[in-house]
Amino acid sequence: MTKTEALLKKNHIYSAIILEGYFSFKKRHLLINTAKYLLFSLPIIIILSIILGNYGITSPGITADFLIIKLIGLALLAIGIYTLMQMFEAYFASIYYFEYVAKNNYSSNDIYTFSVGRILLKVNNDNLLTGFLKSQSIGRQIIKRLGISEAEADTLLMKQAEVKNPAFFKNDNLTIIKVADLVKFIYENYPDFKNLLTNHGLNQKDLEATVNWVIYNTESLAYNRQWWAKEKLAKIPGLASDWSFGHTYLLSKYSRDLLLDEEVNSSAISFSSRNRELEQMQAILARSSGANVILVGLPGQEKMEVIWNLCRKIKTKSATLEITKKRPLLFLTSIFSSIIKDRNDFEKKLTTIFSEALKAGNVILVIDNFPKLILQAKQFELNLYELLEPYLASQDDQIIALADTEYFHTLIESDQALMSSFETVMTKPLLLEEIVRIIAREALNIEKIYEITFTYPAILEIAKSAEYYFPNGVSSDKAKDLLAELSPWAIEKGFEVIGKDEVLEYVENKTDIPIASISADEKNKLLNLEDLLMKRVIAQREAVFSVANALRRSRAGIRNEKRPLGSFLFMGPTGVGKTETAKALAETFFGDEKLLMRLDMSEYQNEEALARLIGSQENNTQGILSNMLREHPYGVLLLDEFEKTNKDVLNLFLQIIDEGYFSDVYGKKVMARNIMFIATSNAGAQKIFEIGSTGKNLKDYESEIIADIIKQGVLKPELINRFDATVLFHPLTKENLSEIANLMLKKIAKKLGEKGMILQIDKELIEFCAQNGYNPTFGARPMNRLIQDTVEQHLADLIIREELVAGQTVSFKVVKNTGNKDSLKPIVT
Amino acid sequence: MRIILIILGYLGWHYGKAIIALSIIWKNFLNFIFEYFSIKSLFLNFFDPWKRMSDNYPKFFNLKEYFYALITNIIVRGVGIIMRSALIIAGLICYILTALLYPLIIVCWLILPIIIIALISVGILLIIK
Repeated sequence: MTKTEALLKKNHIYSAIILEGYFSFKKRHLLINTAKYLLFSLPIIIILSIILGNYGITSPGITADFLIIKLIGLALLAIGIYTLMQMFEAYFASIYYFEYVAKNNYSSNDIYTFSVGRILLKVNNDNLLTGFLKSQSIGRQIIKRLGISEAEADTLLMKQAEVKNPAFFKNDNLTIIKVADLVKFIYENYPDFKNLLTNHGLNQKDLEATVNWVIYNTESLAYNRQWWAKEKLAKIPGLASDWSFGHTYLLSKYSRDLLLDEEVNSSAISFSSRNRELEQMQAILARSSGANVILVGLPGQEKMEVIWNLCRKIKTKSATLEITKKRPLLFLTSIFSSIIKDRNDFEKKLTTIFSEALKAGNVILVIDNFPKLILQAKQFELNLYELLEPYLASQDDQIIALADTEYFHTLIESDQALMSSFETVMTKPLLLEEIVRIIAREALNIEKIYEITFTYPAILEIAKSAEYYFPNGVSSDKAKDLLAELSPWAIEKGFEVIGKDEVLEYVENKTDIPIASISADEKNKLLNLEDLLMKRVIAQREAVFSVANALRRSRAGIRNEKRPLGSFLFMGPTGVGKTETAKALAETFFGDEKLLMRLDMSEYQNEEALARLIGSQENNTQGILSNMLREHPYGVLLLDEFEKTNKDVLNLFLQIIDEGYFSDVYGKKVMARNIMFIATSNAGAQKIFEIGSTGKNLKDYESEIIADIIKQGVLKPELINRFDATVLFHPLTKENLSEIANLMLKKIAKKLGEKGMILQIDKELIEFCAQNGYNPTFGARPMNRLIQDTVEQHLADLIIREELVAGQTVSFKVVKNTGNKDSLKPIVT
Repeated sequence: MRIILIILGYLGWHYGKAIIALSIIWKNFLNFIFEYFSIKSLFLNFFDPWKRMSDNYPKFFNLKEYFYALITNIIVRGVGIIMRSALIIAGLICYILTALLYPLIIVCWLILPIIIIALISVGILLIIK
């Protein structure tokens, strides 16, 4: 006898597990349905046989009586099989141990759960992994949900034949073995399995979560079939549960009975992820007087989730005694507000509604938007607290007021009278694991509708992406929305199994932020980014290397995701390529120079600067920076002359660079985590110029230059330190200027080439531009102007006069003018 | 060998744990009927006005209004008593019937394996005969 058989036989459910091997759930239900259809159709066949027999239409040798006897035999057989299968159902339902979804019914002599038994039954040569991989209902489901293909699982299974002395449970006094324990044992003791998971980027935590998800799915189906369970029966409302309580005629018009909500009645097993809030609320509602709660949370379904949890408790009669027979009614403020005519109407209706709630004796009044009610009262010059005071202080009234965090702080918190009548319960943001659990359950419902399968890595990515790429709102709501949007898209794209890559592809499409796997073209760009940038940026190796490295870190996914893509402070004299580097980056990597957003910080010096950037409530205007980053969440933001802006704005950028987001004036989050910030500054330019001109290495003097800038109070040290790198731009040498001139002329030559004309660029022309286009104060900046005024102007005149047409070549000769500046003369050939 | 094990295992459950499980389910049903007909709450609030409909007595002595309120309150309490009595009786009948059904169900359950064998055997015999 193998160790597995010995273990299997130790448990009294062994015979049931073997029986289940012969009569699986699918087989049982196939037999039940066949028997059912047969029983429904047999009477019709019998009647038809009698009719046909009466008319003598029967086959030779087959009489109607003969047929009827056979059909009765078939009916008895069908009834017998149907009853037998139903008994098997009862048998399995009775001994099925829930591991996850409900209260288990293990006994002290149980050794393993039913699901573990299913796996153990398939084990070969005491190799637990074989049983896991061969079990279609558990092991293969877990493998599929992990995003591992059937072929990979088959290969792993075949490989197990070579494994000698596989690991097996050693402790004979094991407490009951659940699937999670078995899978954990396999993961820790079977290196092949662990390696397979590691190759897919999965760890033990992912495996545990996937196991729980699969078990939840399997067990919730079994649990939902147990309609006779005590908690299921408890959900059916009593016939006379409200006979001893009053009617709420007017309140019913503006409210909804929450016990009838789908979220409360759904047969799905609910895991309360907000137990803390629920417990706090129940404790407050249990008070003898002043049992009123303000439930505060972000806009969205978060607060309602807590209320639904409370309602579920009431419905299943598991709430505290004080609220067990209560009827939570959701007072719909928007409907109420829309029909109110005037102050008197507001006052009269609202007091009637609260009186009804009080008199009914079993109402928990849930106000869906308490701040709205306060504001409406204010609009009618009424104080809501004074109006409601008698009800708020009553012993019989229980009120739950829902309020968004922002309004709670601005409108309610400061009102001491109101606050004294309510206890505050703040909803805390859910942890990632809790959101994943919610989304995983939601995905099971969506899978039924769209006939698709989500893997665990996909679910995890949805939860992460919802938080990371969509800054505003409640995380669980955002993740649910993302899940709902993703499914029809996946169907359209023809995906049947949705993995992490599909989620990333969808998020990339939605946000225009490249997060999906790196393409060959992009990989090439990333690896050669320095070369690509240096084709445009002359002589600034250090700057180019800094930004290239930051981008590679970001795309490789090893950067700090809670900070911007990169943040650089470019310092140096004017016209040395600071702006050009940012432009080159936008064009070469981000694909378009238009993705370069630019703010001239010298325009943000006065007191209104901050309001212009993040919006103003007084003027009801949106902020320039908020809009810019919302419209383009991915790209380069160039902050020109950064040091010239005011202190408030500098503090704003201190936060942005540190945390990767900021809140606009309306409290809405604006994400900047996919933005590369390039701040340019002329601070210390003179010193940089002086050191650079002597040919010394600027890097050696970097700390001295920065210390000087701090000393002068131009920029704060904490701000300079926040940047990923401070890059000093070298002053340009004569050779550099010739290279820049060459680049600029090549641009013109390219434009001409598109018209079929050729611009001949020779050394003489380059030297002319380099010599006349340089200014020690403005660097290479005047060169652009010089080329415009000379080369471009000559070319324009020639083209308009039709002296230069397609197919012709133009070159320039430098004309020496005594006493005057040299000039250019075009020669067309 | 396995077949024997399965049969023994099943019969062990059928005549052992299943009977206990059936009793628990039956108890659940009885509790449910008690709750569904709100029998306890109906008894506790037996004399309460129907759906809390009541008239307030006058603050200052006014015989007409006082009697008017008194009559109204007697009527609503009367209605409450009648309705509650009807539902209590209906609930108790259901409760007793369900309780009485239990032994019958148990007997059926005990002979069910024999019935199934009989049904299948007779069915096959009729078909092949």
